[in-house]
Amino acid sequence: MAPSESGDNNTESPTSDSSSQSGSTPGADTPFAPLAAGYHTRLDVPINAPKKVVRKEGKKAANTFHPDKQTEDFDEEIYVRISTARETLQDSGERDDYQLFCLNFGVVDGTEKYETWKQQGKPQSASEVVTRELKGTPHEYIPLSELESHTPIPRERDPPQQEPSESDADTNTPETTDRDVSEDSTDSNGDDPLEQTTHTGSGAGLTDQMDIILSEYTPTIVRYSDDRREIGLEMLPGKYNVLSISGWAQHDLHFNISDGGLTNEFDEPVDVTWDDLPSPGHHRFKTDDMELVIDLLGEGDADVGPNTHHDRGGSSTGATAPKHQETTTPPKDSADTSASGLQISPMNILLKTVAGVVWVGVALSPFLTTLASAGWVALLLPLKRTGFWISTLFTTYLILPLGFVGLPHPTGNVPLPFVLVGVIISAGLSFSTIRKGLLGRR
Amino acid sequence: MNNTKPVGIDLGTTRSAIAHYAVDDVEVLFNSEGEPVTPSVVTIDEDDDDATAGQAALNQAVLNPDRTIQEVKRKMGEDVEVTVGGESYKPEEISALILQKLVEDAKEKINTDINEAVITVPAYFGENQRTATENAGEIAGLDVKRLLPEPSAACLAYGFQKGKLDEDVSENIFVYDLGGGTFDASLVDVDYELNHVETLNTDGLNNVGGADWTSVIGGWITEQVIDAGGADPNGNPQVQSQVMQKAREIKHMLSSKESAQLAGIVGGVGVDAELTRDQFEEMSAYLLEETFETTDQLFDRADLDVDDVDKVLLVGGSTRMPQVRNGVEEYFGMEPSVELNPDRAVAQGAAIQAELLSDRATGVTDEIVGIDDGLVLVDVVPRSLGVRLHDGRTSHIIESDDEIPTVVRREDFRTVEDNQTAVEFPILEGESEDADDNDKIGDIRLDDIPPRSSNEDSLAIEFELTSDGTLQIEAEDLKSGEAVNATFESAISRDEEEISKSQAELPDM
Repeated sequence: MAPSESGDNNTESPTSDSSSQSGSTPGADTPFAPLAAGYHTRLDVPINAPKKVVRKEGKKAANTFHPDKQTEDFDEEIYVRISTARETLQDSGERDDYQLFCLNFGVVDGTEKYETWKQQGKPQSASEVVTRELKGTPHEYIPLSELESHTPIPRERDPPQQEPSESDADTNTPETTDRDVSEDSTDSNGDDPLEQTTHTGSGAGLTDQMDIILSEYTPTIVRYSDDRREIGLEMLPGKYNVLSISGWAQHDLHFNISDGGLTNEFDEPVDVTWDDLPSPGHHRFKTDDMELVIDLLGEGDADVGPNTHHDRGGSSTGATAPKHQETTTPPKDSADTSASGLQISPMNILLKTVAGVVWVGVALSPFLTTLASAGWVALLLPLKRTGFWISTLFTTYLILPLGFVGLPHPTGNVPLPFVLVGVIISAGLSFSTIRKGLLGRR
Repeated sequence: MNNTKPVGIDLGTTRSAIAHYAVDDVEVLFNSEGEPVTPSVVTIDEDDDDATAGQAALNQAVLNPDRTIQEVKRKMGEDVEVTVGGESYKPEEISALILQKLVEDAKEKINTDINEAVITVPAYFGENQRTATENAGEIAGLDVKRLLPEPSAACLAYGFQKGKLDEDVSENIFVYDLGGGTFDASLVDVDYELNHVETLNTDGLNNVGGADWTSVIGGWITEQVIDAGGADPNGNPQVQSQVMQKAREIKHMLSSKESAQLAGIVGGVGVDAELTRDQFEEMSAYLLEETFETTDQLFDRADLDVDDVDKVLLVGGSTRMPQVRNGVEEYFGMEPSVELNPDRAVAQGAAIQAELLSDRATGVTDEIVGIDDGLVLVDVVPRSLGVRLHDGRTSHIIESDDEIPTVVRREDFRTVEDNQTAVEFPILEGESEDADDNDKIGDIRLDDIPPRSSNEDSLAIEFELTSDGTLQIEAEDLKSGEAVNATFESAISRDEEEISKSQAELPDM
């Protein structure tokens, strides 16, 4: 029996698939990846590609892998995987269902669950199945028609590979001081397309649009709503790892990196979790076999995209960027946030301390509001001086934190140590105010 | 004859043609009578030893109707036999004689051995009809490399003829293919830049063709004979054959003239009557309407609308009737293309495909002008395939319009009884939910099923339709993940021994 479509799971024998995609395998020199789990990757189209683009790329893929153009011992299942992707993505209803599964379960598991659902004769609607499997409310879903109204994410294929000089790398790459940069990396394979970087985005901070594209692969982040995004990324089996990155919530960015069972590089998925919303800038994940670097856009970075890199077999050496990493102009605030939310610098300390104070102010605002109201009430009474101090000081405390609310924190979410510092400072200020404004006058 | 040459064959209901790819061009090979098309007619002599096919057999139709077989394509795939004298023949055996005639004449023409062929079939031919056609080719001694849908072949020929291949043009082509015995409606996306010819949707009628228009005129002639005091020709095969021959002549005449005269002795009585084109079109309007109802059905399920069609190709000799051309023009709001020779285009397209498949085998891919980088024909399943369930319903597994090749797996099957270890059920073809309304194409038996409850879905069935049209069926026990022994027996497929037996028993040409 030919393997089912769900054969992309992580338990699939890696040897056969990786070997069949390499060497003289048909289509090895094309962007199509029939053995990939995700349908978009198989056809090399963005997740929000218009139907016309899907159709054209689908025809190219079909031409590449059609049995009539292969030798007679060609495994027709390879073509069937292409045609399955074509038929699904060209049909608006099927595509919506498929993308709903991928949105909620990631590309690899989502594809498998979608195919299983079809094989079972679609006993329930796609949303019912997703809700049941999640045991909760599925991610908000924007129909394909709305996705298609967005301009397709521009992709840049085979850009000129300009190997930067070491001095260029030192000058331009924020990751040169990244503490996560591996010291044992010696990989400088200039042909590695993982280094290719293309990026667009409309800058409104992390709660708005953020697009990251890894060339040669499915675009990695697509905005589905203001606070949820799907990240899907696959890499060509045989040539590179097959990898998917999926899952997104505003304050819980969860990367699930797996090989789709097609290579030996990863036996198990690698999970990297941020508990809080990551700050804009450079974020790096490392395993023994792979390194993934993703830059996240911050406010005002719409015109200049950050780098998105994949490095295999190691990373850069010491204080210099890997030679094969393309260097582009970094985000304007990347100097402060180049490493991650945990980067320590004087500016960070200051900013995070202020943010801690604000955080406490916001936390105490209901209490302060009550006090301020009491002060204004006191003004109507004979206690005019006391009322003036109460209202002035506590209104200030009320307005100050409210003024910060809604502004994007330049440092991202505030870590606990800085919150504690803010609590101590706020407590001191409050005690002083109360003593001078109320108790002192008495 | 040292070399071999792959050929393309249009095995038609009333007429057939054969072509090959010559230097820089596709050439239709004329038969020994000097004609590009050969009547699909066979006559078997009194001793049942010799057979004649083509025009000579057609000439025998009036004198020797009992021993003349016409329109056998309409019986392909059916479990029937054609009786001539005391001998019975399967439809594919008669078709094999027609193929032999075509191939023998072609061999003489190009002085080359011919043992590989692409044979065209109506797009709407089902599994049994395709299998029977393949059997016919094998009985005729051919290695049938592919059964090619006639509309796809026509599009291929059209692209080649227009020299558009490799040009940056893409068209949605509707192929209105009205042959002698069948009608095919196909929507084809032809991307000349990519050399990609993809059938998007197909529908058809296996019982409507030019022969039915001929029968309408035959009915009119019969009335004239009876009105003139003659006996009903339907009771006399010889007279009936004469009537049909007159009907064909009148039909052809009405394609170029406004009226045709029936004059002479028919069935022993003199008749003299005039049939105008308007009368003929009125009498046969229901047939044309049936083709447009089928076209409506196609567009009902297609992603494209009538307005999205860029070009309409007319294929099949019956599209020469002005009634058809005018009707198609009115339906699509555009004048249909008449650039193709409707009698030859299908064979030409098949010849191109035969050459491409031959290149695939030999590794030579640059022989055909304009197709340096190869060409891909993507076809679809014409009719859904499924299995019969215990309650008489059909569970469709491969749906019509699915691309070929395809693999479809379904996991929602269960046994009827608890601890049932074997199950046998028919494989069906057709769109109806009611199994009895669909055609049976074979049986499958699953053995060695581990005992289990009948209350849960526990069996998976997988249909694989390969690019050469072979249907493979496999099953799996979902509880253990083990394959279940599945034996598929086609209702019509014949093994080598049966093919050899037919070859030995057929009359000599």
